[in-house]
Amino acid sequence: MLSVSTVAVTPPKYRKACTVQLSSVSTSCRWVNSTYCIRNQPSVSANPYSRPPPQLPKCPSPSAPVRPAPSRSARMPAPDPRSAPHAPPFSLVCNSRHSRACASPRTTGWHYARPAPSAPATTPARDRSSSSSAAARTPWRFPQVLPYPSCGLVTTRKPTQIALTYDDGPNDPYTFRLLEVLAEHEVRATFFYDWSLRSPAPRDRSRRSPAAGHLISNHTMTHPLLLVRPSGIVRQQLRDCNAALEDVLDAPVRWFCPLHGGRRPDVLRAVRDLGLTPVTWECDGV
Amino acid sequence: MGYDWRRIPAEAVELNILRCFHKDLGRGFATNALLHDGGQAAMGQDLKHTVIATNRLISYWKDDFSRCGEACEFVTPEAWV
Repeated sequence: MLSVSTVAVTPPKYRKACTVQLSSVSTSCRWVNSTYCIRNQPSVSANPYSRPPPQLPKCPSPSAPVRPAPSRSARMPAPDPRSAPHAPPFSLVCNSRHSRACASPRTTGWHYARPAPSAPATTPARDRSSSSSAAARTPWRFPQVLPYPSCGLVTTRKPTQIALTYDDGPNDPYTFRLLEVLAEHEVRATFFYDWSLRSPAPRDRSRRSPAAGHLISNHTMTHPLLLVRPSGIVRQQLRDCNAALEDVLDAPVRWFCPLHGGRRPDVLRAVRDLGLTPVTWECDGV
Repeated sequence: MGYDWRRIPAEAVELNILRCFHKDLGRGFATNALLHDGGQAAMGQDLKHTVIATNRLISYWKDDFSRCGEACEFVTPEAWV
């Protein structure tokens, strides 16, 4: 009797499905009621086995100030930053302004934000007197350029630093529009030039870039795929591009961006033999 | 990397760079944003979207860091040696 009354209150749209479920599942009364409740909500899945959506904390209003995450409780005091030098000095806070700026469907409004600067921690007197303990507390620093030739440049642990690098130029007229944008914002950038330098117009106009403080570097002469080229051709490409750049700029060239990210060890060894430092877009050394 | 050698809108270039930026920010490293001002196919390749994305990204970074009370520093690789 209970099963019949449950079917009677089920909307006509789902009556057939509920009836089938009643006949096939022994504990059908509770199941049908939950299904009915779920299907009345338009945006929730009708699967009775699905979990409810997680309860995320609500974003504060845009006018609310951005504050760092609260520190740990008194039972677990906040760690000394010198004891964990590799921990990122950021906390995850909600910032609705970021979500508007990014305008991405993946954007959730949660981003890394920098905490307010605090006073530097003072070292106790008993620790200052002991040189061995002070040396033990000195944070290990990641080397900027690794000693073996298969790696490129490694960035510093300063997240406020941003390097803008441009490959495959110069390209008339977009390179020169770009120079105008960079000059408007007073920003320095790095340009990796290649075969386009053979054209006379970019050659003449490329002389302006160092005057604006930009760095011009090697990107080979004809942009070949260095991963599959013999070492002799690789060295010839690098030498020719160096010679062309030094002819235009009247200054030594020190940097090289691997084409297509090709970082074969003997290519990078040839780069270092010519006095160049490889720069890749993944400069974090990981 | 902005993947801007493809014919994609400036918003997509901007999002590609910001994705790498937030990854590096979370790790505590500086960011190297790689874009393209030319193409290996021919001179005059249309890279208008790179110019637009550069303008927006610089404005975004300047606003973002100044709101947090810090100064965004645009450097060249010389600063990392």
